Amino acid sequence: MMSKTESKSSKRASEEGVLAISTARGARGEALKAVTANRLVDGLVVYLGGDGWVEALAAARSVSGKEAAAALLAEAEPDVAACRVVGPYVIDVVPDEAGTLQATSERERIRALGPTMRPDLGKQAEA
Amino acid sequence: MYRYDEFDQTFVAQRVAQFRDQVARRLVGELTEDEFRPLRLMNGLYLQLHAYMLRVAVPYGTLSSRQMRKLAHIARRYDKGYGHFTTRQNIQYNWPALKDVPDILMELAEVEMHALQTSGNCIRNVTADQYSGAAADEIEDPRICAEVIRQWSSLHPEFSFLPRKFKVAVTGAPHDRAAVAVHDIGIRIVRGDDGEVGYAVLAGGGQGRTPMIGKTVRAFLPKPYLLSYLEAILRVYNEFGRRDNMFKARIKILVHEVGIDEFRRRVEEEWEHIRGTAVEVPEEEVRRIASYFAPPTFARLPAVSEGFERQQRTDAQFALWARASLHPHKQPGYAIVNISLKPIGGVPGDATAEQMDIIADLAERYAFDEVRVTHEQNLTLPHVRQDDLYALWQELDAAGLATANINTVTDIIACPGLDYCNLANARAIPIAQKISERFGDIEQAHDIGELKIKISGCINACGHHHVGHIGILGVDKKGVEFYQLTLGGDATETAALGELVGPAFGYDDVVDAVEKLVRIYLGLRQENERFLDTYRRVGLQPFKEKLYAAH
Repeated sequence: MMSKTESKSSKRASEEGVLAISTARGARGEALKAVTANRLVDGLVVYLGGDGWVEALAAARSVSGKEAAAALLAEAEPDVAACRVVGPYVIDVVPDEAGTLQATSERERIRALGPTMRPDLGKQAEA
Repeated sequence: MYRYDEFDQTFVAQRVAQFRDQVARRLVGELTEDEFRPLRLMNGLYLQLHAYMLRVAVPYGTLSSRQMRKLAHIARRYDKGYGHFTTRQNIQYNWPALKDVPDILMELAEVEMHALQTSGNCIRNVTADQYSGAAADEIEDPRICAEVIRQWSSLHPEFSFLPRKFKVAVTGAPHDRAAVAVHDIGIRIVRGDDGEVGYAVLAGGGQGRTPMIGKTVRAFLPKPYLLSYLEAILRVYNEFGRRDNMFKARIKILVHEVGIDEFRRRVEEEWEHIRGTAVEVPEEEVRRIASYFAPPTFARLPAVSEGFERQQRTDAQFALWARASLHPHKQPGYAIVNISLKPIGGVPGDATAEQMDIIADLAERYAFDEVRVTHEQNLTLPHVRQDDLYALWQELDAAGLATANINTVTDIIACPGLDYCNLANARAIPIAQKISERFGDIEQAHDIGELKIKISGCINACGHHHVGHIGILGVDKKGVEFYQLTLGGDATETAALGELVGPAFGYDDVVDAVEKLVRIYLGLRQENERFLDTYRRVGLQPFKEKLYAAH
């Protein structure tokens, strides 16, 4: 599975028909890492939390450094095999002033919240 | 309208049952994602940014009221109350749960719909002029040809695993509203020198990262040879298409690399070889299909409705809508009505379940039960009595469906972009919304005249930016959204690819840049010139100079 940080559209995208260029996004170096995936049964965005998968990025577990990120991603693998999630990958996150985790790339911000022009849809609607 | 025969019905029902079993096996882990992915894609199911996305085929963009109501029902029951009409005349649902998709497909099958050939490296759902069977300039209804191709291509064993996806579009009128020149195969129904109706066959058109205008393989193909000729083209492509490189796998690359003359030679050689033994569509079957597309029973009416004329004189708002939304019908006393899915500041192509129900109802009462989806992400009622236009307009207006902006600066194509799509590099919809708001004064938009803005959120060009009069391509520069502008693209019979103006603009600057381009045009235009006419007269340079002058 993907271990490359923020390798844009994950392995999945390239196989949906059109290759996505691998583009590193967002802040580097200081950023923390979290693991995201889509839930198999309904496709919704989930994050690896303290105790299994959570829907809110704020509840995601974040780690520092490449090795810790790889270990976090490895934790997701059994849930791929158990058909809980699809296509887990590592994303960059940073805590905001209140200490709440935020995605650094536009793509992951949109995944974490919902379509930017429809605040009534996606996770932002439930907040 | 085409009705399933027994074969179609059985086939679709079997496919739904197969997919139900596949989903069940996936959910319990008998299938891995790698095994399941090609199966779901064969049934139009993608996994996007937020959720699964189901792409439902609307063959040649034709829907009955019953089908439209089903689409509304699915939006309401299984999704979030809306659907998105696409540049391939399909509809996409953005939030279905995997576990519900077999039920959705079963419900679609109840109204003779499906999600076949909306994904994968097969011959995709065939598109056609949305004014089919209605346009005053039409030679023949292109849906007959499109349906023949659909029947031939569905489950075609030789062409189910092509080097890449394959899109066919058909126009039956000299004015091309189906963008056939930017399809893998484009078919124009034409009249030969002796008046015989046949096909001009183009190949090698396409958009994406390497845009190409299709080239004429055969200027006139007699009708009985449609399928053997397409088969010859597909065979040449299947044999010589680049399977080694996904970016070079479309037929446009083959046609470009070998040249149209050599490509034609190979096709003609293959055609000579298979002619006589290849399947041709039996005359009887063509008649059967044609009978489904037979025109409705029109009333005999005067060419001009006095009531309609009077209503335009007395109600300026109605007159403005009529000017933007109507197109000449071949039948005296009737009109083709376009329904804008581009309200000012709205999401291009989106319709709520309530709007779909209302449109279904209006189609039933005013338009012989027919609705069309346009590749420009609007809907069309193909056959409306001029006498009914005023009442129809009032009802559309009440539902927020009477924005008088068809073919104007706010009638924008936009792909889902980064707000929904896994492949996108930048947002497209919010750019469309901001441009729409900037030019929200409808009278001003009419003064600007015909202007096609098309926006894609990545190089794959689902938003047709290459053929926009103003094309906007979203790119990612080190994690930041930027937008490249192209000028002079054209999707019609005078097809052309847009030229890049210059350096890209940021998310917050691109709307200003578009406004500036429009102002430059207004300063340069001569009487009755559309944006495209002015651009063709003066070229890129004056636009480029003035656009970047202040930078």
